[in-house]
Amino acid sequence: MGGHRDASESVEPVLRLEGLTKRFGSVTANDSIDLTVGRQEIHAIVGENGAGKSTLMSMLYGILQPDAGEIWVKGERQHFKNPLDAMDVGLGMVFQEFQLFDSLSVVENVIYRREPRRWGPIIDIDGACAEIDELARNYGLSVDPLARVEQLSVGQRQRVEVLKALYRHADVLILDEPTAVLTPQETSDLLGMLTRLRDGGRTIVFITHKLNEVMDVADHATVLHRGKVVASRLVAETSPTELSADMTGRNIVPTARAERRQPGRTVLNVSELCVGRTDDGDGLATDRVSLAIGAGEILGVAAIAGNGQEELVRAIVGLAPIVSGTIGIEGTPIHGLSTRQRREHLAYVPEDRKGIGSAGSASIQENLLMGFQREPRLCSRGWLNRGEALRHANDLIDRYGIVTQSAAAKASSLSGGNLQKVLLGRELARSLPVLIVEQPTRGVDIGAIEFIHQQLLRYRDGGGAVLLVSAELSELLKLSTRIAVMSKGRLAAVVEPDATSETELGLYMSGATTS
Amino acid sequence: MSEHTISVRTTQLEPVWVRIVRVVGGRVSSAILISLLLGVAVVAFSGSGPIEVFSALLTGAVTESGPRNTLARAVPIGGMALAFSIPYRAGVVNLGGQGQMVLGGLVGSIVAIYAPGPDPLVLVVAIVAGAATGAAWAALAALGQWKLMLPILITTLLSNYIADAISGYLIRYHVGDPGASAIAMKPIPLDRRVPTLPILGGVTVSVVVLVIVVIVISIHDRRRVAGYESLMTGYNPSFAWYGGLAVDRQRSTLLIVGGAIGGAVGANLIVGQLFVNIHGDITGTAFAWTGLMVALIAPRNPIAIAIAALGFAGLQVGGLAMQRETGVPGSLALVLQGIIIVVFMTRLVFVRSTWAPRRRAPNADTTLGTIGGGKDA
Amino acid sequence: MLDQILTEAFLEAVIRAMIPILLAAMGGLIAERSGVFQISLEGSILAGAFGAVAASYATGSSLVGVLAGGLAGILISLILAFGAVSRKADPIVLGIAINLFALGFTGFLLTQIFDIRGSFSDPAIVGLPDWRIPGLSSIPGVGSAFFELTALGYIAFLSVPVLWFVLFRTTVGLRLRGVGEHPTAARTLGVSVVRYRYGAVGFSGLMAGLGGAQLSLSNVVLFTDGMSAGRGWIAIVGVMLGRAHPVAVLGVVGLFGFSEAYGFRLQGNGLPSQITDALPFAVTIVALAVSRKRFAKLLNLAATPPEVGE
Repeated sequence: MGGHRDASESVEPVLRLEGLTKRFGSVTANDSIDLTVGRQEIHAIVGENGAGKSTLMSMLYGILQPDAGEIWVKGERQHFKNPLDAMDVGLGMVFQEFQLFDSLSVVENVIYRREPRRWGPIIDIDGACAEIDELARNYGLSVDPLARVEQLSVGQRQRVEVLKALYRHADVLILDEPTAVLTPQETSDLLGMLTRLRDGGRTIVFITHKLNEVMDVADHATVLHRGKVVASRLVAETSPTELSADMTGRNIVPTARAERRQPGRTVLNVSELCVGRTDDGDGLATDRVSLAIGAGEILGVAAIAGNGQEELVRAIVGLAPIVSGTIGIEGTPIHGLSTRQRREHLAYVPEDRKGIGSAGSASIQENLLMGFQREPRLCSRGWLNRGEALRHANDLIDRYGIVTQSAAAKASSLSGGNLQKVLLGRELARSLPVLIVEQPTRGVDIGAIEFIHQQLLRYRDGGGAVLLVSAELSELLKLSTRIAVMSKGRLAAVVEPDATSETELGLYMSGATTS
Repeated sequence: MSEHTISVRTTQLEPVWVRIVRVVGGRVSSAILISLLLGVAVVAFSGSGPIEVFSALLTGAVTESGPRNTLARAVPIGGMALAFSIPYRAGVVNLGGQGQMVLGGLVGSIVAIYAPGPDPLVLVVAIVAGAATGAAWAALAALGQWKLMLPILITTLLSNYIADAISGYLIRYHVGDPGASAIAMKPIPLDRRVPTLPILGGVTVSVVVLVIVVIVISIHDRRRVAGYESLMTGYNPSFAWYGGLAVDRQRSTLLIVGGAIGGAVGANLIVGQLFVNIHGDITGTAFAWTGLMVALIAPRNPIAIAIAALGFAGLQVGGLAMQRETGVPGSLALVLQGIIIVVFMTRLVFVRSTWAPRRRAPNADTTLGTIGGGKDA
Repeated sequence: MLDQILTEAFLEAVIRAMIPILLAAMGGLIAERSGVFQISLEGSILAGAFGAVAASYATGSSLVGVLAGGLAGILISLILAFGAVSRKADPIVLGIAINLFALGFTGFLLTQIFDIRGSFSDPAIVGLPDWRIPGLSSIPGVGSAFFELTALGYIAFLSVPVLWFVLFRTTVGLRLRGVGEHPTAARTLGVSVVRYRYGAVGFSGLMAGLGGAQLSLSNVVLFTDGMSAGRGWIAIVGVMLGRAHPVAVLGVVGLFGFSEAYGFRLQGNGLPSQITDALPFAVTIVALAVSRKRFAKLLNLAATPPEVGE
């Protein structure tokens, strides 16, 4: 990788933030952020989830407007009203969620709204292709300009986003967690490309929480913690240990790992499970995966997005058909059952809380009722006991500390954390032997995270078997009894949290080693 | 963690009548007001005196035979509104009400004219047969959706034209009255018509039946588990599926129930109101479509639907009276109906959103996705 | 029966049946590409038919009639644009209300202005002349069918390649497709989603209005209540089946035109009209069923996850 530069050599900073602040209600997402990015440097912004990185980037790109503070680009004060303003001064952003038109070709995506013309409104598509080819050659971004985006892999789509920014003459590229969705090979391609772009005169700001990437390519790292800048360091002069300490908060004792106990008899048993891909691709998404989770055990699943863990969960709950293998709960095979029948044995808190896990326009009470409506306590001969239903809802609202005006309020009025409590409360209240939970604390405010963790542990202590899928390695290390690492659809390793580290997990996840 | 344990104890869900008052008082009245203003503009544009026209319209609806005619018209309108709203609450758009009515009317009148047996029994059987026909017709659309993936919106709509053709063909060539000047069946025998009630100035028993149906549906929605489940499917089908409901079966059932109501309304229209099945008459009333519009005012609230049906029926009856009085065509009532709905749907009303909650668009799969669409912000 | 189909007269009937639907469908596909489900085509056709007859009667000019028809179509469609784009109302229910409004309003105006109920024909209504293209129109077999059309007929068929070119070769077309595909992304890049959608819906109203004018000033010269007779709906299905691609939509509309003309021909052979009238609708459903695989994906019917193991 390219040599690290000393940022202080830069004469004039390309990007300077002073006292940037953003509040959402009572939460201060960004608290007086100061940041200076020099010309031709790779500047990493690191922090844990919820540290305020995304809010900062949104303000930088005109999606959110700061409540206080100043943004300076190349020596001029900026007031971005929308992303266009940011593009106009040479900023280009690559979102985690790509902003691409899937049915359009690569070249059409790249030139959109900046089309070269032959005459009148007629697009000079050949000229555009040539220009893109040249950009692609210069920076090693090979991609077929005439391919449709929907045919491309995730890594290739990311390249299209980068091309889009370069084509618009962006000299400051901002990338939001660019490696979260990439395979290890794609990741190393991307990092190499960032170095080339920097050496070609561009400035790169990239957001990440993976310290090895920072150490590999960044020149400068700014660490956010709970909405504040806690450190700004030259990478050449720091170490992963130091950055890690910054990230987790210097004065805070690292979260204690939960006490573990010996799991009991096997409750959920997955054997040689193969699941097809959902995206029409060839091969298997989940390839001969076998897992056994005992009573009183949390089995964590660690994997980079798209390595088969989503399909594993879908197959267990009955959303995806299986190709082969068996799934059993307490000795009863369930893989032939309908979703409805399976839900009598397992509780499920899905990642997509708004799309699947709740009905936003229905009341909180109605959301909490789902799955209980046919229980004898609440239903006799098809009649709903409405008083009991309200008691049921209020009981869960109290027990889980769901902050709301009333049980009749719409679920869509809840914050991310409170909605998650609705889901978790509802699922745990059914006292089923198995709980499948995906990304339990994603998009959840810090205060609620600890509460959710405690509820998961309590369920475990009550003899429940938990399959926990999370992208937060620290969460997995804290909660899991064992951690299963998946890579390319296969089980790469099963490790004990006490006998491993984030680094080792990362290696397994990348597929570099198998145990 | 103290801020996370604050929860306000809750009271009952908002009572039905509070909601009705709020909706009627807020959105509906302002929608009607704006519609009236637009209506005045239309009338003035066409060269009549707006005050004269509207007072004729109003008095026509409430004086002399007005109330009785209004009640009589509210039955098919309200019935078809239910036929639409029942599947709609679970996210199924049934545009086939007209065809369900036409075929229900056809089979109903065949039974009423030709079936042997005691008259009251034949009358009941005729309406039940109409309902069964409508249900079967709707079941075809449900089969098409879940076996062949044909979108219900389109199949129900197109099947209206096919139902019309079937009915026209059968009446013309097989079950019609060869002596009639139009393509028509024989009149329904006098003793096999829906009896009228002496109270309320002689409206038919059907009014009472419809009121009972509305009450039953209302109770079903709020008190029965199945009602809760279908509402949840309407709010978010993925959520209902995740909660373990058999979504497809439930939706098919609701569509078939809607079809049955449509068929019954069609049969009732012939044996209770028109008394002779002339090809094209059922279609010509446009009751299916008027009912659909009525249903859109409050798709999840059968009582509000009944009230709106009464309002629209009054508008139509008043329109006919106005035509007699002033010579302004009665189709003004249709225009006003359209304006009211468009104003209502586009929320062209000056009410604060806290007062009148925004109408929720139905879920993604009730609306047909646009090409590659669905990512709208 | 084949000898009856392979005649110039039959081809002519197919083309005539196609023109109003094709105009509306070409408009509808542009709206669809912009991401608005255009379900008020039926109302625009009807309003266009009425506007054309009224203006032609009043001015004695078929050109003014056509312009008025187009304008009426636009006005109707703008209600949809306002509701669905600006007010985020559900386009399906709004479109249905608009269609009913158009039906009532044209009937109302018919009685109010012309004092006539049901159907209005008058020698003072000037119909659209057929323009014969010298030379081409005498090509045996196809000449009179393709080269003896009204101006609107030529517009309908020319709009296919023109719209294809606009959609896939120009900046406007590219931006429009982007707006329909991913409005947020288009907005981020500085394209006004609202403006494009209003434009597209307005265009669809114009085309459907012209379709209505063709219906009331060419196929026949009169206006009848509800004379659109489901053509707007068929145009919508045509757009869906043809996946909003001009050439594919032309093909689907051709199928509809064929079935309508064939129905008339069967009627001539003594089949009851009640049966033959339903032919285009039955053909539509069959066409849907045949292409259901692609169609299901298009409509994103997988919104409800599949039940496994049941």
